[in-house]
Amino acid sequence: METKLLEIIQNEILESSGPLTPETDLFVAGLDSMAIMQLLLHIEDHFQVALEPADLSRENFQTATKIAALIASKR
Amino acid sequence: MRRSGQGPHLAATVIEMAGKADPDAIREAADALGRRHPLLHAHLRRSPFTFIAEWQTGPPAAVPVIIHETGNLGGLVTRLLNSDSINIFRPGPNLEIHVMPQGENHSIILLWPHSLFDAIGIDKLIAELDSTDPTPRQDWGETNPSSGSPAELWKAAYPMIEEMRTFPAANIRSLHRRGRKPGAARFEVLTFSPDSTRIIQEKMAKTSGELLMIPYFAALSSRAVAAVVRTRDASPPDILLSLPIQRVSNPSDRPLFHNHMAAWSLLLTHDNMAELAPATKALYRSYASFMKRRLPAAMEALTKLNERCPSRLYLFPIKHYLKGELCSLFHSHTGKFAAHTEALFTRLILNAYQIPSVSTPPGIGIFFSERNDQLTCTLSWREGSLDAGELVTLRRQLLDDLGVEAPVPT
Repeated sequence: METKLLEIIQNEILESSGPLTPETDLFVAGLDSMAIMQLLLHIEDHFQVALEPADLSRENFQTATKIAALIASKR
Repeated sequence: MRRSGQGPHLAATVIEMAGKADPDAIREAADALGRRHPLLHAHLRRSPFTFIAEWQTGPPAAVPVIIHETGNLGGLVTRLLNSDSINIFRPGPNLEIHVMPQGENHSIILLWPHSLFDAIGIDKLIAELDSTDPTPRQDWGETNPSSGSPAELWKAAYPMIEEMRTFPAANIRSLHRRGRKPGAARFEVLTFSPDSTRIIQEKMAKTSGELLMIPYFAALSSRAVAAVVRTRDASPPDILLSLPIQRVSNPSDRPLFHNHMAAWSLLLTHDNMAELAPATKALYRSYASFMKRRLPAAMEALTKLNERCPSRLYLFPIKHYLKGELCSLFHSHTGKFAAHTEALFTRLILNAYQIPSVSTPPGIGIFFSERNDQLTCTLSWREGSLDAGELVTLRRQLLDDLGVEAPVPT
């Protein structure tokens, strides 16, 4: 799941940013409020998971590993 | 946001600086800046063949710097926003740099036209404001974007036109008063302390999560405008937002004058606005629907189609269709303002924010940005759209939703 998330973030959201790893700090890499909204849509589409407001924290979205853990907990 | 008969559409960027200004350093950098970017001395002319407006550059020259020895910042910005010293349809500078002392500190005020810059463009300009490199830059940006044939554009824009055909069914309202001549540009800036900003962020996190800043601030701005409309009219208003959305996620490698933003039209119905949390969620769903139906590309094609004619020609049918309205408010949340620039001319930046002027309709704009853990809210309106009592209502609703007391407005 991390690999798919990284592919989405790299190719669809952050476009020109450098290589990402599962532990890259996504906020440092450029994940801003606009990018978060796009990422939420991709998560809904690819993983059929709708996240609640309480899930939308910087802590949960800091790395691909943490996002994957969040998605897994919602399935 | 430019509109015929309402003067040049200008915006001011206020950069609050630590310590006294260094006028010589600012003048030297302004000289280099003007020579580096010929578009800062260009004007627009419509081609007689394509009817598309094109920039005509003038001879390289320094960006004007005006040093004010004393005065009131609010008064100066009001005067600048209502001046016509920058006019994109005649030769002359497209940027002015004003410097004003503020006690032991000072402010730098950039005055600019919306036709040449957007919020991200200004961020990039600030990042190179103190450079003394006069080498002309070739990457001016999309000065003459190729827009395709009108037939192709119409086909691409059609889904957005169909979307707009659904809007008249709603009771879309703004603060524009029909029949009232638009007055001067007015504004109020609310700067929240770091403590108040933390309270605002904590309320947002509890209400809608930490990360949905764009729909959260758009929803509370919509509720503030709706609160004023309700004092005028018994029928509950629906809100049509003209929301600037960043086109690219990483603009760092884009040229200064690139058009970084696209305006999306998102509807927030009155039944979704009763509470802030559902309003935020509804706006996010509206954004998601816009994306999933691929309307951003259609909106872009429609914008390119509109570039071929003066604004009055395409705004008139929209106003007729929407019963005198174009949208309910202008709004933006630009996140961290000038995030990559800590200091200018060897002085630290204490705070920075935008003061855009708005046209009517809608006659009102509510803009948010952050800097140094401080949230700043700019209320911008046209005289005649908002009276003193309504300003109190607007401010009270905003502060109630933000969850804080009023800071001293400037």
